[in-house]
Amino acid sequence: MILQTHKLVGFFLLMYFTGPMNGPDPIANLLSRVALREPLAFRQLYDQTSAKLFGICLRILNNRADAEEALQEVFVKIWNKADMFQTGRASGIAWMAMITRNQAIDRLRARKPGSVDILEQSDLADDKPSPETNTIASDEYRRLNNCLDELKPQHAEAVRKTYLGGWSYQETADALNIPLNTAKTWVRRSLGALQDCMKR
Amino acid sequence: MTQELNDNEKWLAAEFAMGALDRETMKQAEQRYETDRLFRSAVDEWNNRLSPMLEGVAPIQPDAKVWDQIAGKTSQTSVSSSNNIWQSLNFWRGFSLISGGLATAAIAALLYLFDGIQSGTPTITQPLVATLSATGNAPTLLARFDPETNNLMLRAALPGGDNTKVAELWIIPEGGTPHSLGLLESADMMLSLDAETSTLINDGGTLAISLEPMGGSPTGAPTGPVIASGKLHKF
Repeated sequence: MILQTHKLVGFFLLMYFTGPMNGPDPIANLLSRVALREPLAFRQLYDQTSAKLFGICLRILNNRADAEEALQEVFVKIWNKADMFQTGRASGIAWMAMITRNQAIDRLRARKPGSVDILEQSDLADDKPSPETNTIASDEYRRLNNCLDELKPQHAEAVRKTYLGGWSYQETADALNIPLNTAKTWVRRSLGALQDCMKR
Repeated sequence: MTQELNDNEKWLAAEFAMGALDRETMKQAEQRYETDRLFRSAVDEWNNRLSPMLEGVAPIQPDAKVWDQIAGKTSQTSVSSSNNIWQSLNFWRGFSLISGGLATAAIAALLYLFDGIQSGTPTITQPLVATLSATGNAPTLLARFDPETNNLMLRAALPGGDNTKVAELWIIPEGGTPHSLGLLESADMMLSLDAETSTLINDGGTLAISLEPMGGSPTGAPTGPVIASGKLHKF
């Protein structure tokens, strides 16, 4: 009982002091505390995001040991660079996902320079949201997928493989059996269409 | 610097966010993201647009050893970059080990003893203790107030504090407004309070720590986020 009251007071105090300043982004809040070198916040941040970020690494690297090393590098980077994060621009998790994708993609490119090894992930249906995912998905997720569905199927596929699978233009071109410049044009055109679609 | 990115730069931002570039160009873009404000906001816009796609990626629990390795590497970084005890992961670990294993009452007992064993008959006025924690976590700071001497003893495991922010301690009497007790400057502190301030410290009051600009809150009231708080109670 005493403990509950204590927690309640703590909660209201937190609301009273922080107000709307910190916004409804708990990950951003943790990142700000990590920027102040608070190990406890770092641990919480890890607990709340590592499974998601590990999923992203695995999706790109397709290899557990590799993905674990990438995840390590990601969190060391986040510890060192949390002060680079600024609330109000990207959401906390979007910023962390960007660092994660860049790290995993760098590993991928270093692993197979110029070569293409896409046979094991050439199932073109595999990145489309499953009906289950769609029922619990956020509005943003549904909106983005609706916009992707407006593109030509192959173009949407190129976008999904690039973003989720970490494919370079070269890999997309090889996988879809199109010239490099065509791959570039498809992705750029798709991005333009997505931007317009999502403004609506 | 121009106020707007040209078309090539805009595409570079989009393609960097997509991750479609070759290794070298990705590295260059990453560098630019850190130094070029315009470029950064263009990339962030694309990130916000595209990142919902990641909801379709299933979370997978990494092996527990991954955290151990991260902890090892970051602890090295933080210790070598500063001698500040608040920033030392080892210090924090030691602290949470103790506090995690003991009930609040036991910690309070330690606090009661930490300025020496009291001799003679028990006093009439009771000391007040508080453990301050971030919501739901191990204590960040232990406090003990002795109404006889008006001394407030603090033992902090506060990792906060870089070159731009300081931790400030506040007392909020029950039903009252926050009143600054000063800045937290080291892991172990004793504040000698004046008689007037001492009257604010009562059973049921709350101690809280906020992050403030260097030199402390400019307004006299907390302006930054509260990183820990805890209620005072009789020992």
